Amino acid sequence: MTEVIDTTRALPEHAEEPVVERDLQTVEMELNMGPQHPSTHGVLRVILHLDGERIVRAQFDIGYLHRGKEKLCEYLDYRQGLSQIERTDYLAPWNDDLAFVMAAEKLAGIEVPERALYVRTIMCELNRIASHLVFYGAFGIDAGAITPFMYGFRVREVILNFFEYVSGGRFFPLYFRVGGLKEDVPDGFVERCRQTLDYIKQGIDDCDRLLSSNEIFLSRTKGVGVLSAEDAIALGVSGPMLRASGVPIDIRRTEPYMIYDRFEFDIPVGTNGDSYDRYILRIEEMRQSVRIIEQALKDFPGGPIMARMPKAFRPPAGEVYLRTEAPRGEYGIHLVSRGGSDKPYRVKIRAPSFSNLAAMEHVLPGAFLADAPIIIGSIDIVLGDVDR
Amino acid sequence: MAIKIVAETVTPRGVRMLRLQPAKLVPAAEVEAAIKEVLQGLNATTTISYDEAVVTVSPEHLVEAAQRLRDHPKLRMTYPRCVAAVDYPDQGEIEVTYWLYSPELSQKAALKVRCPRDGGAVPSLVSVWRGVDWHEREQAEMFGIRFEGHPNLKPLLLQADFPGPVLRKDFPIREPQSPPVRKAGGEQLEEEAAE
Repeated sequence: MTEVIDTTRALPEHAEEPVVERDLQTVEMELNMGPQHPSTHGVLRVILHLDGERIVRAQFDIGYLHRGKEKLCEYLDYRQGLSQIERTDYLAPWNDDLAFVMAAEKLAGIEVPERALYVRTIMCELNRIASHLVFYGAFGIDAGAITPFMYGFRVREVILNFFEYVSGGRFFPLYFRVGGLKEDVPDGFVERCRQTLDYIKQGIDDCDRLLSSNEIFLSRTKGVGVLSAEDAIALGVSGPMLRASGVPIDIRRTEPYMIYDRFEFDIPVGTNGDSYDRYILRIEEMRQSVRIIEQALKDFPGGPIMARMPKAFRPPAGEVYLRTEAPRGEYGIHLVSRGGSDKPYRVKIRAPSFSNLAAMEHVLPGAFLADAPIIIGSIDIVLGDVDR
Repeated sequence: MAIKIVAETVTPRGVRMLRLQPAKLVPAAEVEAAIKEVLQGLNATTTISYDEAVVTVSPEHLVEAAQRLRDHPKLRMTYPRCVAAVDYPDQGEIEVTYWLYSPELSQKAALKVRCPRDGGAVPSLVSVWRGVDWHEREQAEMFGIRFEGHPNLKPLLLQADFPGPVLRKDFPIREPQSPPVRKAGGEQLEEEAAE
């Protein structure tokens, strides 16, 4: 016979108050996170100094994915260099390529035909959606929800299929060229793009409904990892992370390049600068990208896809810094040519994740250890972009 | 603010959606004129490269020039975009460029400084723009220059025992080498054993 426990019995009334030893000595604890850690999105090592559960100081150890892309570019000509550039931010290869070819075009003063500009816009905006969907899935996992990953990747798959249909490459297109495009888009491009868009629109709504108002998700992300607008500017933060802090800087609008000034779209801006704002902003950004693509498809022009180019592209001596709004923020290419060579003299890649991650040294202190994966995840880092 | 908001709506989830007017950057010539005026007495030379106003100062005036660029109401370059160094072995110098932007006034500029390749050093601008911290660290290790006054100039991307500043022009890129082929008969194995 087992003893029956009376569960209705109340707790003893005179439970003793917890004893607090005032002169207890505590030491700052050092906790290593990564480089092999599921929530560091690649190989990132963070050394966290903890006071209890609070982070006092965070040190970042990066470079595990450093492949010397800038050095390699000096040994390859402009067309070959693209293959290196697009492997920096491997979730947004189209946007990387765009910055590089535009920098070379600016250096040589090349006018790109209309049709090529429209294709570039469409593909880059599709890439923005694909990249944000990866963020969506990974951020859900950071917050402890597995399902969003499946939803995000299901939609992204359709976009990757579309990339394959246009360029032959699902991940690395190598489709842009200095002066235009590698080849014209396949037949039925506009029609298939519209179909893809219909699927994407439905997909974004599904994703939004699944996670954005989930109570657990809200309480894990709201008010976590706040970055003020002044700090964001002083730290050189860019992209959705900067806009989440309430700064309406989107290079597509504040320094219009290519043909973005022809399209109507809104810039989502956050109010609190917390992790939730960084998340919800990207959801809205995807919808705006859809808007841009729809407008671009409506007046999709015909004509040539390549400017008249010499056989070997040798830009004159000069130096440009060209910035574009990549999914993660300002992707800049500093290109130096000394003239007469078909290889760049120096290529510096201003990677958005690099500056955004550097700002984390100022955001993480004060946060709970358990929130660290959320905060690091909310900047949407790609370590290939950080380390180059 | 030079960024013009045409319309503003709020989504059901509380995101402000701003319709911005495509901004026009201040022409480089005007920025150059303003820089010339603000940096008087610092021996600054200005040029225009493509659509960018470029100002070059000597290392001893760098911090003062940077502060004026950031704080002067005509310039307000509060946003540091990028720091890039370029090696010019034929001139014996390394050039460091700070690419700057002013969100308030919609203008951009580049601040350049040069230092000798051998034992070169330029003052750090972390005290002016906090955001250049990692950028300066990266350029320091890649080009073998020092940023005087930088709070933490440890190597950032490369491992501690990496030989030399890799992005200098005289640092050779090595052809990929195939691993040594082990001969049949154990000849090489004996050599290894001797080692």
